[in-house]
Amino acid sequence: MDLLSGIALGLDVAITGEALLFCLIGVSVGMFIGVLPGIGPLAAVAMTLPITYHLEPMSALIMLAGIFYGAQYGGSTASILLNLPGTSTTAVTALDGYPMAKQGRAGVALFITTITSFVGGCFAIVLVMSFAPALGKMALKFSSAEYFSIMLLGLVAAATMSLGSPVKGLISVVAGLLLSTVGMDPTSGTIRYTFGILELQDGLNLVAMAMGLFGVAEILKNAGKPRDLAPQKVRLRELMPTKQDMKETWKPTVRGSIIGSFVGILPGAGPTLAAFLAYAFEKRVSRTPEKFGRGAIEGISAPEAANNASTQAAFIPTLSLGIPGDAGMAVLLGAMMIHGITPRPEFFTTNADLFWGLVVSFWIGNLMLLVLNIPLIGFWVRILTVPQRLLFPAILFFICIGVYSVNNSPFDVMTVIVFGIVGYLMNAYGYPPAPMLMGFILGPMLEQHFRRALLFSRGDITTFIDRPISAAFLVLTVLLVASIAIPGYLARRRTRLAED
Amino acid sequence: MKRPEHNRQEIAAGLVWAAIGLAAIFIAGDYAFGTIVRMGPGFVPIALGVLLVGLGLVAAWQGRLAERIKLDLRFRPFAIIMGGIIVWVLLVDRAGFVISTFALVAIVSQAEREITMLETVLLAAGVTLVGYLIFIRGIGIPIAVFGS
Repeated sequence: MDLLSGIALGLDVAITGEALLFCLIGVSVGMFIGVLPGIGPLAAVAMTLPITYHLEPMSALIMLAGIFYGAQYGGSTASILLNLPGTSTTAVTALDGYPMAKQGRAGVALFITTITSFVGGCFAIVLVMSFAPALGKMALKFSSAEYFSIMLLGLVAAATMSLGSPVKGLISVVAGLLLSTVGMDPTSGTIRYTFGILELQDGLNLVAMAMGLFGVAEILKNAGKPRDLAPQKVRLRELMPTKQDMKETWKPTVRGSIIGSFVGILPGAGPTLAAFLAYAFEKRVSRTPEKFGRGAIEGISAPEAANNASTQAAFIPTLSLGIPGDAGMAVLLGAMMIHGITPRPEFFTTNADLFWGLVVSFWIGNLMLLVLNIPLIGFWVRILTVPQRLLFPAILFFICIGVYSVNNSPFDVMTVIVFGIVGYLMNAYGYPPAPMLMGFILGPMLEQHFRRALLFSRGDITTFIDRPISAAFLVLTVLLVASIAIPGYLARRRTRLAED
Repeated sequence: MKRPEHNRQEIAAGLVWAAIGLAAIFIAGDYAFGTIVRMGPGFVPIALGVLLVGLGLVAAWQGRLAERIKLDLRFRPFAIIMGGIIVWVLLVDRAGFVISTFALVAIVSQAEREITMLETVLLAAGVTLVGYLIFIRGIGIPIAVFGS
């Protein structure tokens, strides 16, 4: 199916009263949750997933995707006004956004981030439309060896490209993979790691785990911490950027969109990396790098364009290969599976209406966010002033009831508690919990493809390097590990030499 | 340059992961290992366990010189929040939605010291009401409103 007829089909699906309504609900809820400090897109999707159980798969997907990218939009508000990024993704925006706000240019900063987010998102949507089906077609030729190798690349990327120690990231992934083996092994029917607990036979519940690791753990991190919440004031007439601002913005926006899209397509690399790369790149090409960190407008437009572009572009590997770009996308993928939709290469032909409908809804959703955002900036700012002590008990309630309602299972809520503690400790010790979730979601597929690939090759391990595409993914994986291990090793050696 | 003293917390964290890996290997010993052509259910878990042991030891080794982390573990909010969720789980099947939810919100809101009694009651009542409207009335989750 070519691009235009695809879009036409998508418009048919996405412009119905029901689809528009759920798109609007999705982006508004996402925006709302994203604005709340400390809660990112991942927790937003996990928290609202149970509400979508009773919807048609199409409506549910449109809504969940809307929540996902809506939360990405909303996250920058708290960063700019409070210097309190909801997630690491928007931490970059705070670097220059907050200084801008302190200079009385909060309105301009919010306006610019909204526009650049929109541009970045739209740019990437065009890429999704043109490349996802093509990649899907290519992936039809993938055998288990290719799938194993690309998933390995994605997991290693997720582990090593997150901020902090790569070894800790890898531990997180491996722990997630181990957790995914809990329950019945689909090949042999053997029950693994259930410790005699009946509820564990079907494996751990993804929603419960995600809510524990990201919802409860975040609340535990912030609860009881006194903090001064006085957002910078924003007046509507201060929103309009000057001509000079616009001139300084458009090029970084384009560059940010390109960087973000590229990063988004890579499995395992999410919006955080995109935002950091775009920021670093702008700082390097800028003629006035000293302005960065003191309210440079390029310092907010490039990363905002990049993180939204990567959020949208991450749908390319997710929809065509079933391999999520980051943990947030992984939860979204889990949500699709719960709704009985398993993204795979055939998705584009067997579920063409679903794919095109979803992608066109991204566009509509982005447009809604633009329209919602700018006139309502005052409203979003007011949400920030709601004291945290009133918000988090309500969020905890949503987590409890949401998880409970998946299977009407008290056991799942206990799982939330356990993973709340796990996530809290991991955060405290500098172990990123997101790769664990990636490992957990990809684990069963990874094991299946690994076993199948070696079954087909009759135990010949070289099957992974004999097949050119698989070999390419493995080479990338090795390069990635080397690019992280070698500079660190050299630096350590140098300091040791200097000390001696 | 003075060498920093060993960072016990980082080392301990690495060793804990290694211990988890060992336990995983030990338990998976009961599952059929199989051959490389026909892997049994024990193959992948054992391989992952070995990886975890290795990585845990590397983390401990690297952590010995890492900068000391300031652990931000506050017991009070932690206990209150976990306690609140446990109370909700225990009550929801026995006392129903209203009582369990009211109790949950009333308990967990105490994690913040500044909250007043009035705020607690209003918040608990408000969340219970909104939750009832959305989840029981709206979505129709099968939970008894009162009692089991």
